[in-house]
Amino acid sequence: MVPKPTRVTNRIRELRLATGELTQAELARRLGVTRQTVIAVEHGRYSPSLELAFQIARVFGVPIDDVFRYEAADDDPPVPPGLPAVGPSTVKERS
Amino acid sequence: MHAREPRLPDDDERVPMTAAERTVWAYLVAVVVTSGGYLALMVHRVAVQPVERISWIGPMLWTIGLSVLGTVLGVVVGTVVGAVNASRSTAGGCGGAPGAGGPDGVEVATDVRDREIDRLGGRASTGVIGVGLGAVLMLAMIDAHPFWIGNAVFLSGAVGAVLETTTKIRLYRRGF
Repeated sequence: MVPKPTRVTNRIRELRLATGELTQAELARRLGVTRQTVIAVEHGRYSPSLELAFQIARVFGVPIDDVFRYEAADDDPPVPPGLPAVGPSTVKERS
Repeated sequence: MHAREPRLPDDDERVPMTAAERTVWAYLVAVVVTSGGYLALMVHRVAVQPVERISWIGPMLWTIGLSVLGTVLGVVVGTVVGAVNASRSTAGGCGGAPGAGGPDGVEVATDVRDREIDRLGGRASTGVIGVGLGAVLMLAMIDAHPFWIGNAVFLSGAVGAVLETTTKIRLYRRGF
């Protein structure tokens, strides 16, 4: 089995559906990238640059961590005690 | 992964390669065919006659020229075939544009992903080309025949090109 190339997961497909059925082609047009890049990001075959990730979040009008999540690996540094892992739920709680 | 989610009209329909990926494929095919032919010819000649009598400069120049020409032709043919397929799928109502485009509606030829793949592919071939140049340097130091020096340069370039293009194709297909 081919290992998954990235631990970054995303909700792009879900957000496309929620945002008036935005197609991959239309999202690509708005971002100024090829549709193949949108497909690769959506399927987790390409971790977008930070700039592209922000642009994607901007298209959907949500914070970046409402679009992308990072699945921590065993060898990742531990989260310091008292500091919650940041994700969509914690962002909503803070706001 | 998305099995139960509703599908949008263009979701995951077969899309043609990007222009950048087509170029990589054309380059790989051209290099493998032309360089493979050249190297087979040279191996045969080395087996039947001394290197001092082997004619290699002309065949090598032809090989390089045909490789460039083959790449250009491959890109042109790939672009035409891609455009024909895209117009067919659009006419058939299969959904959105095949290659998408920029904010101004102009189709994007290369984007940030293509540039990252280009950089990573180039890095993959650097080691091979470095080793090849080291070998050439040593051949020059020991006064080797120009046949060996010229063909060592050619071989390192050909192997480097194959490694670079296969790395890029793997990155396009499997992700990174």
